[in-house]
Amino acid sequence: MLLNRRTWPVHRAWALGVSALAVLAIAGYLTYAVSTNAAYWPGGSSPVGLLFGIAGGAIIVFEILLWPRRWPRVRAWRIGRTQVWLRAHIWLGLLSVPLVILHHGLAWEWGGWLTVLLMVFFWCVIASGVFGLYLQQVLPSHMLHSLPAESIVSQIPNLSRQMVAEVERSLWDVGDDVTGRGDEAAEDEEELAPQFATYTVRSVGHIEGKVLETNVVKSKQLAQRDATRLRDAFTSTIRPFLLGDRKQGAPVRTATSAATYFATLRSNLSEDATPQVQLLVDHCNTRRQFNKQIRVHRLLHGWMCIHLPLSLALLVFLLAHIVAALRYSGLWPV
Amino acid sequence: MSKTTSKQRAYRVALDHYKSWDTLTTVKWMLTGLATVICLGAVAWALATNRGSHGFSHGPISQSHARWESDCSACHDPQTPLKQGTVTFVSSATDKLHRCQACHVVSNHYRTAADADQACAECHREHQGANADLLDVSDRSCTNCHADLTGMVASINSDTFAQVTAFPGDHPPFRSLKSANEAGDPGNLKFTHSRHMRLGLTSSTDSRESDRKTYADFSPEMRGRYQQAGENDDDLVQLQCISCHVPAVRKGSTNATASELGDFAAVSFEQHCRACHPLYASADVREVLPHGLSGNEMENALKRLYRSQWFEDADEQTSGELRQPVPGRSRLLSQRKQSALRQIDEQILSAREYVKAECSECHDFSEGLQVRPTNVPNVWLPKSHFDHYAHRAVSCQECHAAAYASTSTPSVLAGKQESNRVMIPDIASCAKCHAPHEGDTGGIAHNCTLCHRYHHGDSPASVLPDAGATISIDAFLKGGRDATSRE
Repeated sequence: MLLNRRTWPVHRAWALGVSALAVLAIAGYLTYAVSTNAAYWPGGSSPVGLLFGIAGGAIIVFEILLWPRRWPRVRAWRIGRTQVWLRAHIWLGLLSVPLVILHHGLAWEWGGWLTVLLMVFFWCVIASGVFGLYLQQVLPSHMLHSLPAESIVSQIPNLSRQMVAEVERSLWDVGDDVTGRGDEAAEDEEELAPQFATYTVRSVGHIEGKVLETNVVKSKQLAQRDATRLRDAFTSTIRPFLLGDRKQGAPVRTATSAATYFATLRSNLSEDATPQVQLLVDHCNTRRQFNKQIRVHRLLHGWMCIHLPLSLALLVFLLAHIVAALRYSGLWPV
Repeated sequence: MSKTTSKQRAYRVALDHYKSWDTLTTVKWMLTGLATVICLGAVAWALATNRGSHGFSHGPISQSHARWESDCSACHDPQTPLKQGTVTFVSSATDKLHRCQACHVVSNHYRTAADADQACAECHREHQGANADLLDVSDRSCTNCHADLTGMVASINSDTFAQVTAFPGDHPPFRSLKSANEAGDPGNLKFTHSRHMRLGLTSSTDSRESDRKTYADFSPEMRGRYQQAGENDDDLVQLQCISCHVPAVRKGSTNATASELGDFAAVSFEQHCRACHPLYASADVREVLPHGLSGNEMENALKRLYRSQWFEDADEQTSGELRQPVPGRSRLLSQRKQSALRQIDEQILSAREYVKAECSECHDFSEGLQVRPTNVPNVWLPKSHFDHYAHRAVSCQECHAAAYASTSTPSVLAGKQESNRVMIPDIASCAKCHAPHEGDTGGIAHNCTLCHRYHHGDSPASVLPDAGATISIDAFLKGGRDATSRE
């Protein structure tokens, strides 16, 4: 859910509505507090405090409904658009902050351990939610421009293995005639040339996105010496790096060290090996983007490891709080 | 080697990849499940045990009730809130809890407010923290009724306290002062504060030097009571307020509460007046008479004094004969006795006039030597409590200016006229400080309970329970729930 100048028109109504409700709640609370001339700020058991407590609790329950709403069976019911749910999740979540503050009566004392934990969890959920919203604003656009090779994180090992296979095809096909086809191979050079996928960002109007391009390695038959050196470099450093071995792949792990490494490699090879070397460079670059994507992915989705558990804990304590409140206010059945 | 087709490239990513969880998703759901289970366990533990049940409390209770911090049922019954008037779903008044009265015996504030008197938590807010003051009752608790008492009490005296919403605001003048100012000081004591506050205790600023009193005029044991540090015996007497108005509990008393220090002890003749008013029997007989006698007692005291004095002055033979008459000399004795009695009676008559003149400096007489009761109110503001100790930083003159000798006044008012003046400040004097902050005035607390008490009503001692209403220690520790343990 993006919150920027371009998407602001769809958020404006929510922002104004929530702000108006918050101001109304604060004004109502202050009016009540002044009119009662009480020594204390009205607490949760005062009429106004109870009203805000009910409203805040209802919002919290609604916020958590976003989770079951994503279940396939529930999604099939098509209760509102996902965009609307997300907008409501964000803005009503923010509205719950003043409501909960007013409910506990601006008191420094937060009560027994249950209500203290309830408040702690509430603030942690709000903080993690705001943090997650911030990450959602920053990281996707960052990934779009700096990680054109972005893919599905769970498929990165699979894609890495495919890259290794592509390189192996290109290296082992251009050295010794392992296939035994001799000059026949040269005739079908164009057709049989190794192919590999690269990623790039393209824009059409306001729409921007990544595309997968297929490139052909137009290679010549390499000298035995070049082929051996390329295979050695691939086996010892590049292959482990592509498969995620950070230790053996250290020489090409960063863009700087990789540039040095490949410059040295090129200097030891003839001109004919340039396409193969470029293929290795591209794949190492892709793998580095994958590595970065994994880190960004952990950040982008890791906050949910805090937000969701705390939300469930909040829900449990909220229900206990409601039960306790009802128990001592006479609504709870005997 | 065959060329890779577009379809093959599309299958670079497994189409069912979403069916498997990555590590992050696994961790997320594990933490979610763990958090839910732990929280459910904590809530179940809290519901099942006493130790955990106070977790449901919406705040720590005050130190006074800390014993029952974890024992909710000491005060609460499920389905019955203590707090009335805010959010209540209680259907009938009979559900109101009287748990507090298991330990706290309170008198009713007013007969029609008896029902409200039982709803303790309506005014005394618990769960506000260990250091919260349960006596810090909001004005709202009072103005709920006092804002319009006509609805509460049918025969209300509308010119007094029918509608009070704030202090000073619409708070009526102090009733006791109002009646005193209209009818005069109810006291019968002729006492001029200004004379006693004047240097040398003179009647006017231009009094003669000889009329002025020095500390040397006091007996040595009395000087220390009035002499200030640095003053000599030859210095003129300058009384301070505290020379006569002393706290009920002396300064320095380790057990004194602020309230006790704030109350003044009644002025005593022996301690505060005798130094200047020794109450002699006559100008010649420097015999000190006791104070506080009735008219008859004073007459008898004078008779005893002068008769015993006559016997001491008479020659031994005469006094012996009068005490033990000699047979055969009764006629002579009778004449001498009659003569002696006449002489004594004359002395008593003279002393009586002298004493009456001395007493009349301060007292009026109803008949003979019988003085009228002083009738000085022990408390001028009986419906409130004024704490002098809390006001110790402010000069006494700020509120009791009339008590001080004015240099601009050439002579002191005639005794009765001045003594008839009530020198207790009115509500405007209080409101200089005890009012909402406005400019250079106000800003000091001005809530109802600062001056007024609720349960004490007209009988402050009524908070003490009857002997039959006390409970045992065991019952007390159980929150008074064991009714059978009442002694």
